[in-house]
Amino acid sequence: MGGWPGNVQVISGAGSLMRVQLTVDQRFASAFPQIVVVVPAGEVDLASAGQLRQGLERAESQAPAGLVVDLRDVGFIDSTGIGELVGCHRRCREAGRALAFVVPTGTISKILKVTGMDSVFDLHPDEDSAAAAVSADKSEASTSE
Amino acid sequence: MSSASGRVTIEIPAQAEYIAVLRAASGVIASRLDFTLDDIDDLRILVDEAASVLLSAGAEQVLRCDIDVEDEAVRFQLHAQLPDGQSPHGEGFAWSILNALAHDVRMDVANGEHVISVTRSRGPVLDGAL
Repeated sequence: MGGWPGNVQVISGAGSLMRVQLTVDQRFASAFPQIVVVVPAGEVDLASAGQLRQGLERAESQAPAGLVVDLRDVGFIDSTGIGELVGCHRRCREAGRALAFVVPTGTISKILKVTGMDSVFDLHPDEDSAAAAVSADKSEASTSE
Repeated sequence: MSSASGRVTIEIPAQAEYIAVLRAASGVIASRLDFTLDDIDDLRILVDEAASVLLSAGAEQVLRCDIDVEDEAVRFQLHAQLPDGQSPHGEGFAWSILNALAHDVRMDVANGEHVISVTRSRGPVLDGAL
């Protein structure tokens, strides 16, 4: 490529052309079938954060003791998205619900470190480890009642 | 390698769904400049966070993004009109991220327009925490 082509005036936009690119699914952990795993897939930003929150709240209502949030299919997450994860963390703590995250190495992990959330959230590299941690929390909670 | 310079200006409706357009444009530009994949990720995050700050503060009608390339650095300038008396929220995760991933971040008001400028050179921002 022979160098930057100078000045390029680009796009003007109008209207509601854009669909939000995020789905939030739910499944049970394969090794711990009572543990609900929430799986957001796509991009989490100001436009889609509300959808993430809805998916998290739905899972929280169906996961009385323990929840795993699997972030491996999230291609992009920003401060708004991190804020929703913080909200989930807070709601789970208030409800006595164990919570852990599956986080791939790379940019998401870096953002969690930059925001200090790596020392607040329970982070794991895979589902089995996250579900095991949540399951252990859950059985501690029930034996202490 | 010839040095690159130039400007791309993108104007989007001041709606969150369109931030994805800015991310995509930043990604294309960065990849043409041979930035690393990590740098490209960081640039996408930077333009996203700056745009999000302005939209969250009530940016009206349009958001204009000037992407300036100068040798080995990319600078985003996001411009928006905010409702009277509004200014961007100055704290929170967005700013932690902007400050951690950019070599320079500044916020100005000029001619009633709020401008957030974010500059990132090739290579990581050196910081012991990362």
